[in-house]
Amino acid sequence: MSDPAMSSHDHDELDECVRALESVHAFLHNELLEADADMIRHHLHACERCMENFEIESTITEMIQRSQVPAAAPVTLTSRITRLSVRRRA
Amino acid sequence: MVTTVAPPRRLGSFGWSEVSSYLMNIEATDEKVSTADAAASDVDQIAAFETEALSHIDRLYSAALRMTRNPADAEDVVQETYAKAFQAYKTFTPGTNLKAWLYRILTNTYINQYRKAKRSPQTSGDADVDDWQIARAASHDSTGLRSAEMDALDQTPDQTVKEAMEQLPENFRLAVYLSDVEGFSYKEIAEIMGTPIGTVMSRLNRGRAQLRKLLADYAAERGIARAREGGR
Repeated sequence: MSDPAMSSHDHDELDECVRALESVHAFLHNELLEADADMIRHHLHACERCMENFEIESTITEMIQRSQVPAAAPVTLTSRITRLSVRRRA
Repeated sequence: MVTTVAPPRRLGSFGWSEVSSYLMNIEATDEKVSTADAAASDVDQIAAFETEALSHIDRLYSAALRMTRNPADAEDVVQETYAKAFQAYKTFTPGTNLKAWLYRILTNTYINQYRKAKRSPQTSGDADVDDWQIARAASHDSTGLRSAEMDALDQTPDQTVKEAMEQLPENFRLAVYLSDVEGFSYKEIAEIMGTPIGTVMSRLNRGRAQLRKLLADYAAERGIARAREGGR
């Protein structure tokens, strides 16, 4: 709770930090309106700790993607479904 | 059992049947085109639809495998998904995301037919923590990851991340998976999961926060282990 780095934030900046933290996933997933995204970008460049938080979240996204290797559907399943499709059209 | 298969919610805007009649109207102005050709064009459209649907089979199978954790069950869910999709192709709106549409049928099939049959269904996890706690957990003054742990985080084995994902409540895991792995928009995820966008965002935030906590714990343990090795 008594983080020395926090003392450098004044109250308005803290509000910005809260907003940046709350919308970090929406920002990461390109779900923010351009104006809101610009506001977050602006804040990230000004606030080292929010930038660090963003980088961690961004790294976690890459880690999730790396860990979820797609499996190939079994050939027998694909041919059963293809037959299903062909039979419907016949 | 009542199964909901992708209700034709978006049909009003630009439905498949409207496209067909539009195409036939064009053909009607051309004297050389017979109604037989128009019917053939319908068949072509169905064939094109089914071919495109089949191109997503590996992703759907992977998703089903992740849901059921069992190859035989995954195959059943995927086959059932395609059977329903082929039957319901008229409710698909051309120009919209076919992959998202298929995922919605897959998710419904899994939830309605498979998960209900399981003896101990997983809790949704939605009631576990509220957003305030999540924001707090990720905020500056909590025990999040520190830059000293970033190296360890980046070198976390894929298997560890995979296991951490598997520890998430099902709804959180699915939201994270659909967003971060499959790249669906929040709107598409809302349609796939049949929930409002706000719920999707909440599940994503909570799922990601839990995942981050699990990975931070792993990185911290690893950091301690490394420090001990270095001390010898």
